[in-house]
Amino acid sequence: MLAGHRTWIFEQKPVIISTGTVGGPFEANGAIPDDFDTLHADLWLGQDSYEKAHKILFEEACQKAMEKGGIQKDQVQFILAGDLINQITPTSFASRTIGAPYFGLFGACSTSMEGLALGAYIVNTKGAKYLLTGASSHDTAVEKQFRYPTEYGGQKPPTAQWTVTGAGAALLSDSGEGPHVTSATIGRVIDMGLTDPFNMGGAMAPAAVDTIEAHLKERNVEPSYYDLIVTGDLGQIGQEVSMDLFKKHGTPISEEQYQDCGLMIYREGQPVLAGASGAGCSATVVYGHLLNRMKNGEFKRMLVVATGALLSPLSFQQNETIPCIAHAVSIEYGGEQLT
Amino acid sequence: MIYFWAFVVGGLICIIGQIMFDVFKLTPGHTLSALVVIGALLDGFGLYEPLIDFAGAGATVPITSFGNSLVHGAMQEAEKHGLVGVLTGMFEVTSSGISASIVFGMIGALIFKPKG
Amino acid sequence: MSNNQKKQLTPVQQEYQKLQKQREIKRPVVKNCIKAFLTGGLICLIGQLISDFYIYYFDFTEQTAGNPTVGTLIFITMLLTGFGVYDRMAQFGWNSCTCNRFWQCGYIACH
Repeated sequence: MLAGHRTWIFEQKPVIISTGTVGGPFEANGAIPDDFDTLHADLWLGQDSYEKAHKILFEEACQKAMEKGGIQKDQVQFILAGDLINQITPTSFASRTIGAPYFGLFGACSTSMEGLALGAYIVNTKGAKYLLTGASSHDTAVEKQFRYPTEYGGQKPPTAQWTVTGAGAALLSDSGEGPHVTSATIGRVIDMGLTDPFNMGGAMAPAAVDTIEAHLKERNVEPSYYDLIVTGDLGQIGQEVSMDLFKKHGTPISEEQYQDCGLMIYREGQPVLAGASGAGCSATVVYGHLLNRMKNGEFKRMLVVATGALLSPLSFQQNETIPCIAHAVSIEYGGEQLT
Repeated sequence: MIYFWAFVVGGLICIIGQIMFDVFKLTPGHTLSALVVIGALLDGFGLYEPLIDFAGAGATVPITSFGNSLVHGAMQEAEKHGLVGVLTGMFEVTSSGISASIVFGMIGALIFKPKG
Repeated sequence: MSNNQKKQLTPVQQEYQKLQKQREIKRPVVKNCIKAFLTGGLICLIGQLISDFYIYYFDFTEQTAGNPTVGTLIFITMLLTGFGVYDRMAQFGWNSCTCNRFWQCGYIACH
């Protein structure tokens, strides 16, 4: 059901019956290694290119989700997923292996919630019984695509972020046991005219703020309704700037409830500069760490706002500004729910 | 003493590059090209040769010497062969650096796998 | 950013950019420069040693020793790149590395 201009309320409350998360060596050294289902010690995953390794990441995340949910791959009706590489080949190639009907999505690092929102909509309208949604990224493959190959040795400024090597997938169904997807707000493309590809957080913050404020207004809830409002990969700068914007707009969001996946995944002391980023960042943290905490009863309602910078390597070389987007999805488990 | 000046002059050139990158926010590629141009200009004014005499490797190792070599070679050959010499001369003097890069680069690409 | 581009921004964009600028982590320019100076100087010092070696043993002159010196440094870079050390060095003292001919080989090797 549409509420307001761009918010969907899911009356059937689709369930995330299981998830699969896969990480690389850098994530294994991070702050939340226990929340990954599989961790790889080798960045190559035994493949002969990083892009092939990227594909394996997503394949494994999907397989893990199906295994944990007790679902065979021929029961999966749709896959809605994407990544950051040209023509999203890693995801498409992984979907070839799984064999289910497939929607390839591109929302940069917001793909995880774009997929979850669309997936929940399909399940909510009985368009599917089981579907898989997720996102993935691979640090070296993404660096090569968007900046320079790491061996080139380009120096990064402190505003830069570290792309997560990882994949997260969720199995959605109309019934079963697990956290419910209750609503989603789709983001607009927002461009504040920033051009620095080494400062994504600063560029994406206004998109996150726009979507969060639209969500609260259209779902007609106070920020305190949520125990946690978590952004995808704003990093240190983006988080501070968006907090400034909330204060300026008078939106009562407290610093304790407003967190960022990009600041959760790595430990202090890892050379990640302003934080983590990448399509795999929000996917692994939400489908791993945060849902685990939710199932442990640490909190009951969260709003996940995955943020994405919709630039291409070509567009910033041609001095185009960086348009950004953010999609919000509310996930609730236990406790009273709005109807 | 030449070691001391090699260190200081080489270091100073690197500081110039770092400032271009950090303060003027040039990309690595732009910084590099700018330094090549600076080297070429300095040689055009006849200032690079004395710098090499003064600082040795401090002036020959940084990328600015590439610009210097380009202009130097072009001028040298231009004296001998006229306008055509400009084109041939440029590559005559710089060829060793470029070919070393290509050959060693190829060897490196064959032997090693990128580490990421 | 040039003034020309700034003029095309809407007031909302300009206001946001001002706000954003305050939160942006400043680049540690002085620290970077010191690092660049030390690493760059060190590389040139090594270059001078190699250059003297060529002059002493191989009959090169002050003027011509530059070529084999650069060649040797490029070879060293290739090894460092191959062993995955170079990118870490570069993050430490970026220009020291990029300014020096070093770079060329690493670039070709990693493509």
